[in-house]
Amino acid sequence: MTGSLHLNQLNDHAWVIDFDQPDSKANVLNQKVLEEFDALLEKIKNLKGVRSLFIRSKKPNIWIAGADVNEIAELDTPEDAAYKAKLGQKIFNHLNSLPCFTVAVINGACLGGGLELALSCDYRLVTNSPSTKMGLPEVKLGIIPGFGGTQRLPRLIGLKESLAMIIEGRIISPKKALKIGLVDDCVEPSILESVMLEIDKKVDREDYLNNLYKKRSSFSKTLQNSRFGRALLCMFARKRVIARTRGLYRAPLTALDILQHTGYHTLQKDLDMEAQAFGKLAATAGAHHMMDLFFKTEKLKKRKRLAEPSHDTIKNMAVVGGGVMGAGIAGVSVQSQIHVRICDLNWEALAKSRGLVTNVLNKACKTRRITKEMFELFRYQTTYTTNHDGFQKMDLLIEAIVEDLGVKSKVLTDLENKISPDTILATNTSTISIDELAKNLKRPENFLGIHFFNPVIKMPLVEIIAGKDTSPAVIETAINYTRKIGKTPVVVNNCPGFLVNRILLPYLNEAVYLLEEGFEIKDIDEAMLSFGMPMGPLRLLDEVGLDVAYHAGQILEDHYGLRMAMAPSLQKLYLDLGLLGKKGGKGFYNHSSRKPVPNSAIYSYLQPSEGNQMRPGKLPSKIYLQHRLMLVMLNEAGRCLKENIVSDEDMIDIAMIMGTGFPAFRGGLMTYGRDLGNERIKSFTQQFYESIGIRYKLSDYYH
Amino acid sequence: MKNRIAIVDGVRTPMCKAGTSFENVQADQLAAYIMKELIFRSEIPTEDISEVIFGNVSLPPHTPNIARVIALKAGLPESIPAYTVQRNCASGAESITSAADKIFAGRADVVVVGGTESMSNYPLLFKRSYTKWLMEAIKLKKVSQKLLHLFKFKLHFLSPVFSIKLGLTDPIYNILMGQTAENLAKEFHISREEQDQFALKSHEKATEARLNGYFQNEILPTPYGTMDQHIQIEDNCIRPKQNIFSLSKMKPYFDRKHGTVTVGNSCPLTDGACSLILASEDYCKKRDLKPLGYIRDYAYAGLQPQRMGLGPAFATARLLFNMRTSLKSFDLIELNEAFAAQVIANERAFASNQFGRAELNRSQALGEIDPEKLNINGGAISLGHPVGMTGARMVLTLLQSLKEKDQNLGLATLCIGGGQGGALAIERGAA
Repeated sequence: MTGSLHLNQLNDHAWVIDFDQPDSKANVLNQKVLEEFDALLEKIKNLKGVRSLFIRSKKPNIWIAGADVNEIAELDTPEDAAYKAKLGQKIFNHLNSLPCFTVAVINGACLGGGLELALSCDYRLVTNSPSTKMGLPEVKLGIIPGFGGTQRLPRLIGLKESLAMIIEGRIISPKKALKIGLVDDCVEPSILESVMLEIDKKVDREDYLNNLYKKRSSFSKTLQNSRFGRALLCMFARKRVIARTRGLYRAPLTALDILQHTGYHTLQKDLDMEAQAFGKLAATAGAHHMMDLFFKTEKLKKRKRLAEPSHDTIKNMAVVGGGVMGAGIAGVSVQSQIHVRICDLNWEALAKSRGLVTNVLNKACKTRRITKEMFELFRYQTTYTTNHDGFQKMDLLIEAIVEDLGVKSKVLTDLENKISPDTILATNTSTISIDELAKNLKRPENFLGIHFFNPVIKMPLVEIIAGKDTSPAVIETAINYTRKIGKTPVVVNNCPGFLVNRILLPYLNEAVYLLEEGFEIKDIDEAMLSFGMPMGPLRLLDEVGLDVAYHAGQILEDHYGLRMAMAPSLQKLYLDLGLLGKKGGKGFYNHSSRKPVPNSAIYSYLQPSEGNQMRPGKLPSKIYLQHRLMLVMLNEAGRCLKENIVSDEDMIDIAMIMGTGFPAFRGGLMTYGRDLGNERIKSFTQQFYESIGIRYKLSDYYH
Repeated sequence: MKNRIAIVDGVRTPMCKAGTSFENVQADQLAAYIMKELIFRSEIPTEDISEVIFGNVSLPPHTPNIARVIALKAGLPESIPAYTVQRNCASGAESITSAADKIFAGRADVVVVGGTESMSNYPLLFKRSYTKWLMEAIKLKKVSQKLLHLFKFKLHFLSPVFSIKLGLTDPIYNILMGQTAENLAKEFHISREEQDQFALKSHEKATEARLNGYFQNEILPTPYGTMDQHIQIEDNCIRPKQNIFSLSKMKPYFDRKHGTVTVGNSCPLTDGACSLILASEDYCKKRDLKPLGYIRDYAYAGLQPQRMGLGPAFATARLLFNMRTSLKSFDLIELNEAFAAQVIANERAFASNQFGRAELNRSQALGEIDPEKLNINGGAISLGHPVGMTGARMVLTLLQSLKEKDQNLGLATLCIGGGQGGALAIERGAA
């Protein structure tokens, strides 16, 4: 048997199609599978006495993971893409029009095209296993559901719940699915087969079916799906989308258009509209960038191991330094059943970290990552100490104290004596060289950098920094640990600032230079917001804290020289004026009100940069500002690649998107660079080099 | 007991007056927090723990077997069983002695024990008549019947029943614990001044001990607040500025007319939890552990409920008989201070030949309690008395005190509501 589908008979009237793609962990709806499915449907249609048809998966944790993204990514023209969607729609219509009662028996992930297939069935039966989840995550790939999802979902569960699932790509649990009427029944996996037989017995009873359909319709759904309801709900949703993405991402907006303007024609007409919209979207560069990003992260997940990890799993860990970072790391780790011990100088500090950890857990609870019961349970899984009791038991120790080479080295050497020889010693430094810190250690092979980003709960990226002596086994364990706690690790080689901060800090620095040249705060930030950054650079500096930025900037300037010379104003604002940014209430912005306003008081303190007259209110050109800021990053990224800090361009793309919020629709920093083209990079850099100087020295990478 | 039971390590929360810092922390939460610390800092692998036994008096309605809830919240593997013990004020002590028996019988190597109580969270109950009325209302189907049923509502339904008051009342003789102390004050002719002086002394000793940092070794600062944003570092019942004048001004609480027992010379209602790890001596040797001390022996005894405060005398008599030793051999004594009158009554009973002969079935007195040995770091009057916790807390405090004074054998004894007494012989070093 080479096919992916198997037709089995349950009893005289009940038949089952089992999805079981050979040589794959998941079932994916590619062209071949779809055709095979269509052929099977045809066969069943011609069979006599079929009362019910069940659709199952033989994979343990996945039902159908969706359409084949590889195939979608190959679609270059809107016509091809729309045709592809119509093909899928036709097959699902075929399923929908079968005379027998069709049941999707879902045990495992049911996503994208998989859910669209399930929606085309008459009945959805799911298990309550933890791996069962349902959703239409297409927007996250820059596209929209194209196999009827935007049509059948609102018709079944109403527009309101559909919006969350389609616009945000929200994945929901079986419990929630039952509540909103997406599925008809939710049972234990162990009784699945007997429930299937029960359903089969009932399906030719008229009253049963009537009851079933009656249960699905409600006044509220009718209201939501009316023209008026659609207009109203879509208006609010559109406002939210625009506020969040400034309309830069097309997929959610296209989905909103479709959802608003369909639903009152015939299904076929609506499906055609969906296919057209899908086609237009799938052929855009934005969608391709986002799908490429998906491939890149998949590739990262499948990377080859350098060695066997030194530990099977991290069970006990300690965090030294319970500040915002330390508590964040603890709060995230404890959710993955890791026992965390936080160590700090005194109980006042520990009291604060305890509060921070509980806050992290509370946030996780509010965003439904953990249940209330889990919150209560995890809350007691962290312990606190002012000494080093119990450190012998630790598998991993992460140091997250003040960013100072002297203090860090001293504490690390001290800690090394308190832990067992197998314990992995890690530092959460954001800029200091790992090799520098490893100098006085007895076991540098067990030492590495695990760099989290702030806020830890939100930022998916973790930089794993290998020192020159770090053993591959330890790196593998660190990778496993970060994956276990749900983060994406990117392995980078050691250098001051590592990858993300080395690229990002010059960008932030350059923004201050631009300010000195006479551009206004709001123009600089606005330029980058419209580029797609989640936050302007000056606002980000306030979030990071001017003190932190200053110290990090100093370390980079010391190491990389004039190329990263810190903007004099940054020094002035922090050292002379004592501005700290958000935590102090004032920085480039005034943070006293709920919405920060630019702090215009600082203009008079700014140091005019050389050869530039201070001209507050210099005429902004968005493109100019964007190029200025992007090119410092691109050149530094080029140097990172040349110096082999990171293995390839894709890693930089992932790191910048996950670590700094670089717009995903642009595919990441290097993809943006490729779209810009080497020629333009060279000529723009050259221009800036002539007018501005050393900061715009062209990286060899683009020669 | 020949093979001794080791107390490997122990820790407790600060003790806080009910209705203060820990008012929103439940008994299971207090205990889970410290048990987690205890097992995490210990060198004993969690797999070696055979059982969890925890003491609690007023089992909170949401945690009928509170020991199991605590164990799971503390992150112990689900495979480790747990049960709760209740012997009123000696529930914490009972967890220790139950575990000792298990280890002694060879049924366990390592047992995590302790006691916890949140007296802030004793629920209010509805009257039985109100419950009945509500149950009837639920059964009625027709609206008219329901309306008619409303007329049967009586205002007195709403007067709540304080479960804490119920808990502190002897159900056989229907008297409050404080009244049992009044009984003893009258029986032993203990004056108001003596009681107040005793209470003052308790506060003075506790204040000094805290200043010297003696409690730091046993207390784990404990978070509280909706998001755990605050931390309680020290006990908060101790009154460093207590003076005899303000004590003497207080009105007797339990016998307004002729009484001498006041709120000032009684222990306060308190929240707190304490946890200890017990293991067999052999296990400790095998693992090269350095325990805080050992349990030499223990005894419980019963007496008249209305004289329950004399429990220590009865229990100690039995303990001395079992151990074939005299009171003199104990270097330090912890006698729980439920009421000043009750401690003084015990002092007199211990010293009285007549009491020994008539009540304890001995040829002579138990022996005088040396005031220099008694409750050297204060007691429940100044520190607080979270009923389910105290027994365990006393053992931990006694071990710390023995260490400070560099002495070996200690006695921890306490009276138990309902008419019982408990006594434990604890030693630090070699037998």
